[in-house]
Amino acid sequence: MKSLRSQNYYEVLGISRYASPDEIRDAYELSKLTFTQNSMATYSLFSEDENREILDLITKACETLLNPELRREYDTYLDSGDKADRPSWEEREVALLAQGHAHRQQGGMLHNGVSTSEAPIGRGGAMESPTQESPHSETRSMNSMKGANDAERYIESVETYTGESLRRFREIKGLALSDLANSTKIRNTYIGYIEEENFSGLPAAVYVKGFVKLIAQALGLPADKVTHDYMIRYRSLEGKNQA
Amino acid sequence: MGQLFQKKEIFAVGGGKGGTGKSFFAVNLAIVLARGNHRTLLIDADLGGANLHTCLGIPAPESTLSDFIQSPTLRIEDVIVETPLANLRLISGAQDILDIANPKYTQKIKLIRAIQTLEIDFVILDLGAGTNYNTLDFFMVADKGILVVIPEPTSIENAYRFIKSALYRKLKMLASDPQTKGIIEKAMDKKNAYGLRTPVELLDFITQENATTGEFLRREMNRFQPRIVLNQVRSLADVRIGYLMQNACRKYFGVQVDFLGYIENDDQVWQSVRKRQPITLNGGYSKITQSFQIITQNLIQGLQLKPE
Repeated sequence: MKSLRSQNYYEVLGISRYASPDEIRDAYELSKLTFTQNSMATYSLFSEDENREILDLITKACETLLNPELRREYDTYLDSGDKADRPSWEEREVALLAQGHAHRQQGGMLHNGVSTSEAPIGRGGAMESPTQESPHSETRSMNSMKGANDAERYIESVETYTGESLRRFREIKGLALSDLANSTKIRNTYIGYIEEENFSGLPAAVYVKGFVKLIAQALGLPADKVTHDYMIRYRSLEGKNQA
Repeated sequence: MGQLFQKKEIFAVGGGKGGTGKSFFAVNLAIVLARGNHRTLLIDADLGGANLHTCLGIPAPESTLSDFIQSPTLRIEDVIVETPLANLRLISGAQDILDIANPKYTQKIKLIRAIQTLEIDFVILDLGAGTNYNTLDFFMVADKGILVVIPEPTSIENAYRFIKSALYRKLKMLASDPQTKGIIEKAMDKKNAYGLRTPVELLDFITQENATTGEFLRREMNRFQPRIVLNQVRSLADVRIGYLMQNACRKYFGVQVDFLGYIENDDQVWQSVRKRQPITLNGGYSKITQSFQIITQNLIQGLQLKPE
């Protein structure tokens, strides 16, 4: 058997690939009882922290598999194998969730209130007020104020968003690719390809769309318009490439 | 019909803690098997406190398991005694605690080889308490090992300790290179220098060091599949503990544990023990007898208890 971290969501829950939603819920309920504090079945095996870590993972697994759309994508992901040049599950998940393709129902699905809420996207974005910065970063906050002004002017000047405008906007904000990668959970290379409009290096359109939306949100750009503009470009250029 | 070709199966009954009802379970399992027309041999392998003959209500036999293990001339047939029940035979354990406390591994293998020559269907080894090498070795040479657990923290803790000890001993015996053996030995100490907490982590570590050995041991570990039976169950919440233990073992040991079933806490049980009359012999369809039948079916067919 593999270690917990290398197990897929089905293995984590100890269920088959064909498990019904009821079976998933049962597995979850059982795990909740198993990995709680003072559980007779685990107190001599796992510490409180370890129990919490296991239960977090189980909750995430359960929420994903109880969501039909996420589950379908997850199955596709499992079948295609976890390869370095393909998006990781985390990237796929954020991309799908960003588009509202698969709403993660908070609490309701597991009727216990345990939900892994996503970290707010867009930290370090344009809307961040200077007062949130620590006193030690006065120069940075000056820069970001200047950046905020430049940014506003830039948004006004853009008619159609392209990869190039995403890059320029990121630079105005003084963000490195890695900063954006950290806040969006999308890897550097994909963000780079999106900016360069190097579509052949990118995964399927559905993920590109999600990534662009996440990048736009993180940069504080009008996300729907950016995504709309970018995808029109993507489709026309993709079409040319294939022709 | 099929029995002609059926290889005999050896079941070992252990559990770590004393007083969980191992002998009670072994005897009644043997009776249910014998009643089901299976030729069954019950072996008292509790080499420190043998008393299965008492559980069965028969006098202490003259020849015992320790005689067979120690004597080069005795055949296994010489130490087998008949019981009042058709199809059920017994090898009694050592009478004198001092005469054989620690048989060598080769002696245990001698016993297992001798068992294979007998015309029987099932063998049940009733092991002693604790996690000494005797108990662990018998548990591992058996085709199926069963842990009798009661729904109490101490019993569960001891069952886990038993699984861990058995698993590490098995891995250590299987590992051929001294480096891997050394890693396993160190990992047996809870505060080991590698920071390895669980058997799952240990295997990951071995695989990093030596992928071939790691994969080999992982396959062997997947074949290690202890069964658990819950005894003295008082409520539905108690029954659930079987599934919780199974869940916990999967995460901690990386081992699939089958939950065979449970036996309710019932006055009839201790009364039968006092009367030296196994409860499943009482006749009629008592709840306890039914529980034993379910457990036996699950054991033979490789199934486990269906959740209610």
